[in-house]
Parts: sequence; C-alpha cells; structure tokens
Amino acid sequence: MATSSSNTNKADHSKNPPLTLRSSDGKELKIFRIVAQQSSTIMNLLDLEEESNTDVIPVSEVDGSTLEKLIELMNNHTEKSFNYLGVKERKKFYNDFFANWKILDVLNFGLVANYLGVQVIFDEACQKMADMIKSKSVEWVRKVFEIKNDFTPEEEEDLKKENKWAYERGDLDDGDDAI
Amino acid sequence: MLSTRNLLLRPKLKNRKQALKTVSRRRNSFAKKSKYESGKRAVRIDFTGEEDEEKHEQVGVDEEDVAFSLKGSARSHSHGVQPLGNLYFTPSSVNSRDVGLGNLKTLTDELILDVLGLLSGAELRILSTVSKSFYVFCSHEPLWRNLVLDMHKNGFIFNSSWKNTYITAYNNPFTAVNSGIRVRDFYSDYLFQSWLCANLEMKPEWLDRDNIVRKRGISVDEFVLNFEEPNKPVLLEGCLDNWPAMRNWDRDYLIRVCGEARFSAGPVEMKLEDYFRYSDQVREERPLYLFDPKFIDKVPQLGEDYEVPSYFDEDLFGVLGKDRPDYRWIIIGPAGSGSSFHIDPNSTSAWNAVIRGSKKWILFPPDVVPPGVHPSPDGAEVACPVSIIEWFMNFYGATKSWKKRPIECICRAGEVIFVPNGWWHLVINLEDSVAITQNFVSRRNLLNVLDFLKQPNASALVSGTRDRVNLHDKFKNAIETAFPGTLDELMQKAMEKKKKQQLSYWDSVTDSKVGAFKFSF
Repeated sequence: MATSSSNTNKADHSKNPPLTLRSSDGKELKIFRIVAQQSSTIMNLLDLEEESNTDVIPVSEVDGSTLEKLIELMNNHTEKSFNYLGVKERKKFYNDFFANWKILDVLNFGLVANYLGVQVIFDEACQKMADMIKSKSVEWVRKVFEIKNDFTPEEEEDLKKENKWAYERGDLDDGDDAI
Repeated sequence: MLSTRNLLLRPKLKNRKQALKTVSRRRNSFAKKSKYESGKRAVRIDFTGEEDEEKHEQVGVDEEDVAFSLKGSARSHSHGVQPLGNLYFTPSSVNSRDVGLGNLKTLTDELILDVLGLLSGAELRILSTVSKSFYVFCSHEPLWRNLVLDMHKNGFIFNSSWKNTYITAYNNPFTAVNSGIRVRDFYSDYLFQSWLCANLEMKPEWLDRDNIVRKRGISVDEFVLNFEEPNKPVLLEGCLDNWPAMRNWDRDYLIRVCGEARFSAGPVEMKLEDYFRYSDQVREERPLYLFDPKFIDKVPQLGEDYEVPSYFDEDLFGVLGKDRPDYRWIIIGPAGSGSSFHIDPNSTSAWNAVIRGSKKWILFPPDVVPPGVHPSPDGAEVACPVSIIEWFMNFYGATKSWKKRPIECICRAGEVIFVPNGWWHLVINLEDSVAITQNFVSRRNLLNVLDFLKQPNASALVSGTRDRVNLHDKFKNAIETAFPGTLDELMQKAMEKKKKQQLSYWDSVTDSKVGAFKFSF
C-alpha cells in the first residue's frame, strides 16, 4: 500500500479522505486527492461522480506494481522540497528513480503515465527512453524490441552511404544491460 | 496581433496532446469509415508508387462528395505512407509499420514521435536503419524541422526538405545523398494525415462564401459610425491606391531593400532572401510564417512605402512612446500559411492590408466560439486542430448549419480588412502573400482595453511589451495627460449605453424586435 509522504499537509488528510485505486490485478492502493490532482484522468473521473460516492476507482489498464511506483513518484512531486530542486538536481532525481530500470519497463511506465494523464512523468519517461536509446547500436535496438530487419542487402548498402556522416560519432554500445 | 510564439511548430506537449485528441478522433473516423462500410462508400486512396511530381490525384471520393484534390506539384508520399483504411484493401493485410516496430507496435504514432523528437539528427539517422518502419518514422519531416530550427536561430538555407537542410547545414562535405529507399505497405493515419494536410488544395466550397460588407471611399465618420462603434468588420477598397508599396513591393525590390536584415519567422530570424528560398520549396502543414513587429526599425525604407489609412489614424497606445506594445507587423508567407483562430491581444482592433497575393478570412463575433476551438476559461490558451487546412477539412462544414454564420471573405491585393476588437478570426494565404497589419486603440475601444489591462492575469496575456505589469497604470496616466477629460467622457457615455438593453451582435442583426430580451446561445 502506498503511503503518503510525511510532508503532505495534515489538513488534507482530514478534509479529504484518500481515494482508492484498484489495479488490473486487484491491488488496492491509496492516493490522496492533492496527489491525485496530477492525474488528469483521475480528475476527469471525479468530475463525473458525486463527492460522496467515490469508492474504488478501477484502473484496469495498469498492473499493481507499476501503479504503486507511479503513486510513489506522484507523492514525491507533492513534497514541498521537490519544488525547490534545481534543474540538475531534478535530473539526478529522475536518474536515480529510473536507475537500473530496463527500457521496456520505462516504456510501460511511460504508457501508464500517459494513460493517467500525468504529463510530467510521461515527459520524464520519454526522456529516459531517449537517453537509453541514444548510445545504443542498431543491433541492440532490434534485439530489445524484437524487430526483424526487413531491408534487403542492397538497401542496407544504400542506407550506409546515405548516413555516412551519422556514423562518424564513434563506436556504439551493444550492451545487454537494459534488456 | 497574435504573438509569433503561438504559430510555433513545436507547441508544448500538453497543448499538442489536446490538439491531437481532437484530431485523432477525427482521423479514426476517417479510417473507420473504410473498415465498416461497404466497398461503395469506402475511401480509397490509390498510389501507384511512382514518384511523379506533376501528378494531380483525386484522393478519396465518397458519396457525400468529400473529394480532396492535391496540389498539382504534390509528390506521392516518397515513403509510400498510406492511410490505415487502405490496409483493408490489400490482400496480404500486412502493415510494415507493425512488422518493423516489434513490440513497440502497440504504441501510437504520436508516442513514438514524442520519443524520437528527443533525439539528435545523428541518432535519428542511425535508428532509421533498424527497419523500414523506423526509416519512415525517422524521416518524418517535423522532427527534422525542429532540429533545424533549434540549431539555426539565425536563419538557415532550405534545401528541398528539412532532413536535407539539416544534413547540408550540419556537415558540408556530405551532400545530401538520397538512398531512394521505397517503403511499401506502411499504413498509418497519423503520418498520412500529416502529409495530406501539407498537400491539400483549398476546396472551392471553402472559398465560395463572401458575405462581408465592402465599402469604397466612405468618410472616416461613416466608418466610425457604421463599423467601428458597433464593432462590425468591413472590407475597405481603394485605400491603398497611393501606397508606394503597391507599386514597388515585388520580390526583387524587397530583397534589395532589406539586404542583410533578419526578420522573425517562427522561432528564428532570417534574411528575406533565405525566407523566400524556403517558402518557394516547402510543402508542409504549417509553413513558417514571416511575421515581424520590428520591420521598420530594421529597414526604415519599408515604413516610407505605406501610410496608415485615415480611418485608423487614432492610435492611442502611441502616448506610451517606446513603452507601447508591438503594434505593426509585416506578414509574408506562402500558400497555406496563416493563423488559426485567435482573438487579438490587449482587446485592440486591427486592420490588415494585402499588398501582394490574397487571403481567406473567417471571422466570428466575440460571443461565438468557432467550432473546433477550445479556449481555456481565462482565454490564455486556445486549443485548436493542428493546422488551418485541418480546420477546414473537419469543421468548416459545421458553419453551414449553424444559425450564427461567420463573416467570410477573400481579401485581395489593394484591399484592407477591419477586424473589430474581440472578434475571433482565422486567416489563410491562398498564394504567396505580402501584407501589413496594425493593431490600434481608438476612443471607441479605449475602455475595453483598459478593462483588459486591469485583469489580474493581464500580465500573462498582454503581448509584445517589456513592462507588462504596469501597463494599465502607465497607459491610463498617459491618456489623462495627453487627452485630459477623455476618460471621464467615455465612461459616462458607456454608463448611458448600459442602461439600454444590451444585445449581442447577432441579435441586432437577425431580430427585428430590437429591444426585446433575448437569450443568446
């Protein structure tokens, strides 16, 4: 169960009881309204229901562990100290959050953030994916995403010529680390 | 006038997503039609796969006569992207888009492009060799446009496509080598739509309606009484006859006179000659628009070539001198460029004079939000479909069935249109065009402007000035100094007017029972 951060305003606890989200695999997770405001999807759902009738909100597109991580990140965002982070510190924060994640997990996480309409987290997930792809080789990309090379050998030759300037960058990484 | 920032090619993801949400619903209905209807009604787009630059194709005919015609010079999509609907006509039903994406295929095209948009040019080119699908995505012109515009704030030399432009600018020894890779069997509504909007011609029925009032040779008093006071648009003829600009402003003259001066076009500043090189070659959904508020500072001669028509002489922001907001722009753009629906900032009125070319205008009164447009409650943000052409494709038809029809016209060289304050308007250039536009405050809209500036969020909404916060007070004081007593006089008049029934524009036009209480929707 996700816990609220200790810095969240105590007043919000009493005025607004936490919402409950249920994941696709039946996990029930609590999220405070002030935190849930970051999700445009949840806010839209709440608009449609009366105040008193918000029981459990089913989030059937999302599995429990991803939802838990997302709520954790959203909680972090509402902490007062978070707003004072500079650009570099924010970058480090997200790097730490995504450290050792596999790229497919980042992708999944980004899709969930997109589904729930949490723009900031979606942007960060996209950025993380871009960062992870940047230094990788073509072979790595094909392996990780299970893509078949559908170019003919002649076409590959043509492409090499067309992209000669791009390969000047140097050796690319074939590493398995993020599979 | 609309700040150039609003014409940006790379809107914040949030706004783009809002815009895309409106759009993708439409696009899906485009594809769904093909899937569920019988062959007779389905939309079919035929591509022979040959690159014939001169081919003029009929694209998509269904029973409701929604035929689109492409510009004569449209190249059949060089990567063979077809709309999703076509997939259902192919015997194999294999979409190379999905094959080449592997387990990324469940992502939407927009999401994939969002991630690709964060990569550099070299990275994009390397990724383009992963598979044919990646090749198509990584060749998506808007990606390369963003890269060029981010890198070349001081102008760029356009070279047939944004991708080529980037490569030739990036590394001189490498001339653009086109591999000529042809990708067949790639179906995607999003990518196809992007190409379609870039290559569509304006349909005749979008241009037919011309219901604006046209006047020639009226007096200033007549103009004020019949148009400025009641806040109605009008097209004025014959005002530009004496402008040297009408005689002189052809390309050679402008290029010569402007020399090395750089003008604002979207996020970059570039020489006029380079801009023309771009606008002659480019074919895209939202071409960069040259829109410069400092053109007279940069090239004083341009200021000598025209004068403000007498109807618009009163220019009260002038009392602010150097502190006044931006108020005059030179506007140059190719066919297809323009501005999507907006209301001019600061509650000012405007006039727009076409010197070369022609523009299609659509105007809605202040209390009528145009179809497909979603302003935020404070008016600071407006979510619109991606491009002007797309608005015409999806929303123009709705205006025919509305009781509150817009004012429409085509404004041609030598004509001036008056845009009253608060009116929604959309403009699209029908051909290469050069125009001058100015925003102004006269006694007729002075109170509106002051009210606008008093609003708490005015500092966010006010455009084109350095000192936004104090503008209201500054302006008010400056007016009191320059024209003592004017404000009091105007406020008194306004009070008297309020006592009479207030009717919206449409009520006064459509209902003869003037004075009766009416609901306005």
